[in-house]
Amino acid sequence: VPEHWFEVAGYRLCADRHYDAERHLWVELQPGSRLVRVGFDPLGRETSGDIVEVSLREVGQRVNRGDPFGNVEAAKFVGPLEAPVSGVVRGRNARVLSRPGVLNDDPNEAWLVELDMADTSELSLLLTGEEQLRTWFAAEIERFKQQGAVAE
Amino acid sequence: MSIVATETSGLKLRKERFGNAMEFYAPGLKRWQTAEWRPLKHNRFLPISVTGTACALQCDHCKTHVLEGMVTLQRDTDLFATAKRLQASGTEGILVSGGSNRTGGVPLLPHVNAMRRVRDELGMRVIVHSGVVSPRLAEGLVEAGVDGVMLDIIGADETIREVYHLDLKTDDFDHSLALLAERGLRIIPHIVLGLHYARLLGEWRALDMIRRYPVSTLILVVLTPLVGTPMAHLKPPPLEDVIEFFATARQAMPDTKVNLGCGRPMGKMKQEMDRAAIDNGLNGIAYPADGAIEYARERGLEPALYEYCCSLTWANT
Repeated sequence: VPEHWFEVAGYRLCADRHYDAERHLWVELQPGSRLVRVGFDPLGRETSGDIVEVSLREVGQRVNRGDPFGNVEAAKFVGPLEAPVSGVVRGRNARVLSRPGVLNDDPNEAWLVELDMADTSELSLLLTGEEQLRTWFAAEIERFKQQGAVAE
Repeated sequence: MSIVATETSGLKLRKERFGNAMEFYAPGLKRWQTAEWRPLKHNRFLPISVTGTACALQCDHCKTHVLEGMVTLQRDTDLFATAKRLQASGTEGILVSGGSNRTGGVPLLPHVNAMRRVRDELGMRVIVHSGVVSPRLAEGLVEAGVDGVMLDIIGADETIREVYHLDLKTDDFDHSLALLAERGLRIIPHIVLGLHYARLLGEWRALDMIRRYPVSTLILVVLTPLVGTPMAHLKPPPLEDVIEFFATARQAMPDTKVNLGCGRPMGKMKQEMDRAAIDNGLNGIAYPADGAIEYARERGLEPALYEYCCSLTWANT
């Protein structure tokens, strides 16, 4: 369980996780493996609105970074979920598939898929560490406010 | 069996009156794409709430949730400055909306001058959500020169009272249409199917009111029970009731464009609903379900894609 949680304007982030700055997904490397879990970061969740439908690629399928690993239908976002890293789908969160609303309640806990990364060096393309995350996230909050995607 | 043989009377009627163009819209109110259509610009048309997330009515189907996704006016920033800022990022039109006051109207009057300037100086399209219209508001909208006025028309007193918590009657909505029509404003009425706790109640009466006025486009939307509202536990209205209403609306307004708007349930129901809208001769669909564009082709229609609000049908030509 990641330990280093902190808040930016009320949003909880984890310094030990990696974040895809463009797609607003978190990536958590499982200890002692090349397996990562992927989920919505709090802004990704909020700017999507209430999530009502989720579909995910089947276990065993390979996705490259940027490829869709699923689809989501939400109040403010309908479209593909693009993989933040490349890997083979090893797990799908059955709880999310059966009740997508859990993503609305706690996006930090409700992971979407587990990917087996062939090459973990791709993690370097993502943001991590409290200092870097704080700067990025604060700027993103402001950007989304300007767009009306989050309440001002 | 040929396509012609399986056409509903609604589809035949719309082909006779409007030709084969099937219009699809992606307004930019949300990030949206399907395998069939990836709009180029997500912020082409944006909603602005003049009240932020405040609303005096707290209707049971919304509880201000719909306002949460809108651009909010800052206290020190008027509508013109906000529109100018959005235009700098590529926005071409705005929907001026907001929460209602206790009499069911959106407080737009303080923004009349700004709306006029947005149109005249910035060249942006301006559509408004008016709510219930007073003579003063109707005059203000004329003065503002808005491109169109959208308002929900409710055809059951019980729904007005129980869902909207308003001390009004259906005649007040009828009167709103009359006030707008008298002044030559472009009217884009909406009917929310299933608004009375997911069952159809006053929808036919609403349709009967609307058909007597020179409306630009009728928009049908379908109740979507929202998380955090008293209707969250409900299922959407039965699909067969919704489809039947599509057919009724088409026949009732044969020469007026009837579109399926962006507010409707998602998932499998949306896919079935969109196909039914095409089958029953509706003219357009906002945010079509994946596969709907191809389905329109299969039904002998020619898809036309527009990256703006489905209320702006007059802008298509």
